[in-house]
Amino acid sequence: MKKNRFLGNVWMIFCAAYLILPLGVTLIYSFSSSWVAIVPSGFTLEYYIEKITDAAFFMGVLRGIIAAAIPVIVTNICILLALFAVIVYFPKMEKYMQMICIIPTTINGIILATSVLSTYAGGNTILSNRILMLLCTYCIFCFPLTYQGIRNSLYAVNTKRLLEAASMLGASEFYGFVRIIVPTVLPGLVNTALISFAGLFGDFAIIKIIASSQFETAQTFLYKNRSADTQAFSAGVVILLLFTLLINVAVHKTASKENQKEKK
Amino acid sequence: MKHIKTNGKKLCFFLPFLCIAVLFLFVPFANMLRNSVTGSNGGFSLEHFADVFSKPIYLSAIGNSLSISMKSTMVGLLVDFILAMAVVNLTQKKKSWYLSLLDLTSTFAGLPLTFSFITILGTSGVFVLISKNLGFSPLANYDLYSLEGMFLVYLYFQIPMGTLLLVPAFAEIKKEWREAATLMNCGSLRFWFRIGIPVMMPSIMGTFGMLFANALTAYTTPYLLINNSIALLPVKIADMFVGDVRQRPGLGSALSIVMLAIILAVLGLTNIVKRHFEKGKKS
Repeated sequence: MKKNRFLGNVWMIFCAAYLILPLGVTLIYSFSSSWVAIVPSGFTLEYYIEKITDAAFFMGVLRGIIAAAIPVIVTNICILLALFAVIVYFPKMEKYMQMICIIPTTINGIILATSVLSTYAGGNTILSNRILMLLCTYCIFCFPLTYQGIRNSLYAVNTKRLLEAASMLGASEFYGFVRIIVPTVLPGLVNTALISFAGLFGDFAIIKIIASSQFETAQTFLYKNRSADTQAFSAGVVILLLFTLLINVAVHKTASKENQKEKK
Repeated sequence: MKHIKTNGKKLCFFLPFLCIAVLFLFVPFANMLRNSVTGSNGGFSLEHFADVFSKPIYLSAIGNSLSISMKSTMVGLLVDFILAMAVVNLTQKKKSWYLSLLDLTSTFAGLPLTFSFITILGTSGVFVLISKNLGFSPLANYDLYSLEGMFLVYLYFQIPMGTLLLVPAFAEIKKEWREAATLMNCGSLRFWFRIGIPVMMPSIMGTFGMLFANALTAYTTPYLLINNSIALLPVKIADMFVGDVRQRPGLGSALSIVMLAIILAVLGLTNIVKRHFEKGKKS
């Protein structure tokens, strides 16, 4: 038994080392002016200063944030409205809605992106706008997680009962939904929204296929400049990673807050 | 009439959701299906599928994709299983620390991950240069830009995801079973093969399906590392629509459907195995 535990610990340390290695090396590499011997030499911040003051990179990060935030918000609103109608008016529609929201887990990234592209590209309608195409495809990708999150929160607060109570007091159902239900479930939605946001912010495949030349995010910017100075490049990767880390911490914070509330 | 009017108003709540779903999920998907069976002369034809299953380049794309996905899933699952087993035994504090590490690395994917590996093991990667200086040949000649070299990156994203999916499954193994088995003189290895793994089989199969689909559809890593030098399904599909060469949406759609069929087949198979092992549970 003791031997097993020891082997388990060794295995865990080994795996952790493997997982941390690429992150760690990239981080150290971005701070050093050269690294050919075992120990890197020359600590420098110049690559970070170069990246941060690079307007194109900065704008790329900003565009990445916008391109990830809009779909998350739109999807949340759409699914909230639809689930409101499901719960209050048409309970039978729920299984169809669930079906629609689960499809994107199988029809994944490139299949959906390429089929959207081949359907609308080259047309003259507003749908052939690449940026709109990108945002809407992102929306589809948020469906499964957002649906699950919103559904669970709405059932947890017993929406139907609350709305009945509100309507007895003279509020219309929709008014009650907007003023009572949405504010109650909002903190719970932030968690799933942040996870979706992190996923979209890290996306490269879909944006490469649909809108790489029209819309440059930080990811596509790095891709274009991949042959440039490798240290500067590592600095860019590290900045993106730190941003993802920040979102991650936020996800954990909101999740643990929710847990505490449930315990109370 | 009034009935329809009031119901119509209520149905408006579905409108935004349905608009996006129809326009960007159903219509493109139907279009893809149609494209795949439309021949070059415009009529119904299976020529694209015939192409996919007769031309060596597409067959090797399918073969390569299946091989790297299968390998990385199998090895990943084994690593994940042992890792999850070890993580479950940790104290609460250490466990949550390790789980956060897995959480963090599971979001570390796509372009940043691939470039990190290039920084370490690429042609002028840190480890490669150091090994060259030291004369350590296995690492000095590491070829990241090949199927075998890429395997490490694939394995990397299989570890956090699979482990996070498997950790909850270990809760199903009751401590009492272990004690009972030990009393009856059943060794640790025998316990896992006879009791532990069969009980966990549904979760293991579910994880297998997820990991496989994840590896099969990975686009960013192969695109950045090998692009077109070795044929892989996702890269080939994307090329048919946005590539530098002539665009062939019909063929691309056929390839997409083949990929989808592979995913569905694997999910179906894992489901059958799942059912088989669930039989004894609910009675």
